[in-house]
Amino acid sequence: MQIKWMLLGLAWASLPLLLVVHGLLVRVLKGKSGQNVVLLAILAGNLPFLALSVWCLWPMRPQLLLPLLAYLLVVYQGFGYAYFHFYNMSETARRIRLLILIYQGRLKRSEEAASAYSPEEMVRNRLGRLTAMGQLTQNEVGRYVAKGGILLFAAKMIAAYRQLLGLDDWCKS
Amino acid sequence: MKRPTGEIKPLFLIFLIFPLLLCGASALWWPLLEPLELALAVTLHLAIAVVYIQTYPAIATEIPSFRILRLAESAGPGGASMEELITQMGQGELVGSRQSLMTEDGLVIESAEGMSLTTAGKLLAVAFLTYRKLLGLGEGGG
Repeated sequence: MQIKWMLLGLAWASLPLLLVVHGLLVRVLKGKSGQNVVLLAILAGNLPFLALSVWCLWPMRPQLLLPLLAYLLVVYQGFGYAYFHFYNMSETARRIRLLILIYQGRLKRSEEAASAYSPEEMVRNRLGRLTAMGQLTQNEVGRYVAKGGILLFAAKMIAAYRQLLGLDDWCKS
Repeated sequence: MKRPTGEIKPLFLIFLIFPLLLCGASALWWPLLEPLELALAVTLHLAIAVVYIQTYPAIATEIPSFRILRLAESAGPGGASMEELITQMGQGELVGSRQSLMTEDGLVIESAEGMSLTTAGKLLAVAFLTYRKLLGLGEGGG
């Protein structure tokens, strides 16, 4: 019974742990790409989480300990992935930006959305972030060139998956 | 079959609300697992469900950053200028699609007086503002 409580507590402790590790890294790595920092926080958070889990479940026979650690690590990676997207939404999501603009009274009518959140601003923000993340680079005449990083790979994978599902390719529309 | 409206609402219903109700019913009427074991199973389900919930929007709708990357790549070694990218992105589908999804998800109400947030919309806006403040970050650029 006690081990099950411990396991449940540890699984849910991964969320505040992610927040704490991320909060620390944001302050230490000021000026770095937000996406790179959150990714680093999630990966680095594995170590204190694993250490905390082993410490809480110790002493336990390896035959029992290993499945429990596997359970905890699966839960941590799932929450970590969701946390990455949560942060990313807070930084890049158009709908969150629009929600906040409406909440703050800076956007009252749907027709104003275009001026409150212009395509120029939207593209400029993303070009800045993608360049900071090393996914894009500017050539000598200031044109943007894809560097073929992990995000381009992800974009291609999603496009291929959409094709598999019979959905249109929004890049060609 | 009719495609469900909105994005957040159907995902939450299918992957969170319905399984939780099923677990509640199972605990009450067919107790296969003891409560703590059920809580551990639900936790694992949540950790996996949120992965799908967060990935689905990337598949269902366009991610502007991904589109920019693919447009820059398809421009070849000469690359693409910011003006070309802005033209190819198009305002309507970028903001319009998000606005209609927010209405369908019950986050925003549009009336003659203008747009306002529902309670869920306000909660979401406050949650994101508080989260960024907690991290010591400014407002997200969108």
